[in-house]
Amino acid sequence: MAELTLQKRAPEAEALRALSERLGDPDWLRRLRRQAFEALDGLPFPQPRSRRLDLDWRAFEVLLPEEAPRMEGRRARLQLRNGVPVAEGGAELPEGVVVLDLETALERMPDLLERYLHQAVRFDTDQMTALNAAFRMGGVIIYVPEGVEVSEPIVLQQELTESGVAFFPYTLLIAAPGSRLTVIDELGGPTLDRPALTSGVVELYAESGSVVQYVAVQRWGSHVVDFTTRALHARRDAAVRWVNVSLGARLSRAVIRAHLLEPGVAADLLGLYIVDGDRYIEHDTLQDHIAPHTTSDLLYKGVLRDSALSVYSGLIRVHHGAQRSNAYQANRNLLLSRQARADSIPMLEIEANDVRCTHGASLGPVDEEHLFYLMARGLSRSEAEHLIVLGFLQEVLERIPVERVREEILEDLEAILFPAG
Amino acid sequence: MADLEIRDLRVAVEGNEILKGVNLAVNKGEIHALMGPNGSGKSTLAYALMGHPFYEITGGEVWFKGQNILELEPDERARLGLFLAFQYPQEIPGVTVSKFLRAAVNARRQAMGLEPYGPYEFGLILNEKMERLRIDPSFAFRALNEGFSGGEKKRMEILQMSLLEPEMAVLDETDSGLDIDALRIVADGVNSLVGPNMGVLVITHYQRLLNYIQPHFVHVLMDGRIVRSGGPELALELEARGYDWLRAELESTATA
Ligand SMILES: Nc1ncnc2c1ncn2[C@@H]1O[C@H](COP(=O)(O)OP(=O)(O)OP(=O)(O)O)[C@@H](O)[C@H]1O
Ligand SMILES: [Mg+2]
Repeated sequence: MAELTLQKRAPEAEALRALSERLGDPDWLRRLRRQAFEALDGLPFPQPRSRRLDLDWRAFEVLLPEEAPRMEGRRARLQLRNGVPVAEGGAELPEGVVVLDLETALERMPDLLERYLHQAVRFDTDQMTALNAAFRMGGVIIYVPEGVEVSEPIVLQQELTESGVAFFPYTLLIAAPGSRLTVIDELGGPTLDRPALTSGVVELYAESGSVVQYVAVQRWGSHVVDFTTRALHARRDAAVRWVNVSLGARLSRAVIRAHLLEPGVAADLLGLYIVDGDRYIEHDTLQDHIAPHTTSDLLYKGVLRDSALSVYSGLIRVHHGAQRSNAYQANRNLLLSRQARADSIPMLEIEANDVRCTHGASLGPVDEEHLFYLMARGLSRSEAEHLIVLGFLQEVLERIPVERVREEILEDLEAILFPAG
Repeated sequence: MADLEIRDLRVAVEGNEILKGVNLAVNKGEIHALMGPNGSGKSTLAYALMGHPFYEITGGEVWFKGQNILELEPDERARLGLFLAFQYPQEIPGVTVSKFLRAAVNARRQAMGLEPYGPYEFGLILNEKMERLRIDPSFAFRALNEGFSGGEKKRMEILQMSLLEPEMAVLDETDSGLDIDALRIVADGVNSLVGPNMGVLVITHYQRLLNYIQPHFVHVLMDGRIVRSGGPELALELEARGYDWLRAELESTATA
């Protein structure tokens, strides 16, 4: 594979112009980038709730590609490095299905992109989404036409191997009516010496009757401060399983919004996070029931050790008229040390009267009675703890669709939680 | 010295002395029954033998295989061949029965210098033992004790015992919550293991169990001490008369 050359530039108007030029953006996209860039100063910085961050986005350079190779978009695996597509492979996709980097997609299906881009995640949500809209390159689009079923899981690998930069991953998934697909979106890269900023955006469009499984696995190096905003627009009778796995980054703040727009939507919202050292993770979820007869079932589980800190804040909003909706929310945390902390902030805004909602949060160390029971059968304390931790996460792990992905996550969490073993 | 020898064992819970000097000797091949009113300290004795951190040893010794095991961690005691069937087995979310049992059996095997079992080999052994205890094979893939009925949990305890092949087993009210058929199955399981290689201390309130697992010795624990020991007839007498007569007798000898 040829070495790709990248330029790094200060995040200024000049870089923005150069980026649009090199990528050959259509006019509407140039306008969007410029609008986003100009909005930056007026937008709020998404300050983490429990760890103050003095971060100036201007301190990071942005990446510009020298030239990006063009992809075919017909394969189930697509790999991007520093926003540049570098490889595609895996199974051949069914007719009409597209898995492409955004630039190639802009040449091939500009109208479709114009229709969907930044509908679910507005570019002016905050500084981080605006930065993404302005300076993003690469990014991935997945499109499955009406009624088409993709049996192979689609795997995206978005890597960052540069330090000192701001980086903007982007995933756009469009599941046309009646289509079915499973996507594994892997974000990661090695730990480097100088800090990096990532600001990611994910937009998921599950059209009527589609069945979508989307799993994001975040494995940034520990030099990365990570922001991500992810939103789902689900239409009539769509069934969505959406898993967010968070394993890396020094600080990560993820906004996860599920908008259930039409009746019959069922969304399974899962999260799994493993945090060690003095790392910080924050999840901010929204279960937005706009239409009647919608169901959302959220379960976020985390294991924390050392002096790691997790903040979970989850809002269930049931709009007036979203009768007969069910919304469940649970955040459970296992603390492996006295210094580790997990805060949960559940919130309800219910405007309909015929709904069922539950929420619950828990945190605590490994149960001493459980430990004793297993040790009484001959397992050492660490073996027993190990089993209990894996058992705790099983409820989420077993709902991750692809075996290989489950196994890799298991390996990662073993390495984070039980480094000696 | 007996295979398991408890000498003047004193145990406190949150500063209250519950066991006030228990003496008991159990040999392999022997079945001992331990009876006594609610709250007399039977489970306390069982937990203390296994090393539960909540129970504070304030005096005495417990000798098993040449060691004072009070100095050992619970897992070390288990690997040495001591087993406790819990009165209230724990439910452990997400930990499947088969995964847990293989880990436990292999821990014990390694302690004995034997090769650990691979998943396939262990699966066969597990299946056979489950069949003998009439446990449905699907239980192997369920989370340990989670949502099991009282009787299913007790059967699971005996399954664990039969897999771990301990040298000394303490069964804490394993009969409670069992229907007649299950009681017979569990008793058969216990009887098939007792022999030259295993001794048992059966904690129970009921003669019913002792009809199936016939004890050689019966002991009565009251107020933290063993106040009477005898043969199987003692259990029958307790069944017929309760504990009050014994208490009265003890008080009269104490004041005499
Ligand atoms: N974990 C505990 N916390 C507080 N008190 C305890 C605890 N364990 C035992 N005790 C106390 O110690 C005493 C003995 O309890 P133990 O459970 O050993 O009785 P037992 O003989 O097994 O009773 P049962 O026949 O009801 O099972 C009781 O007064 C009980 O309340
Ligand atoms: Mg008891």
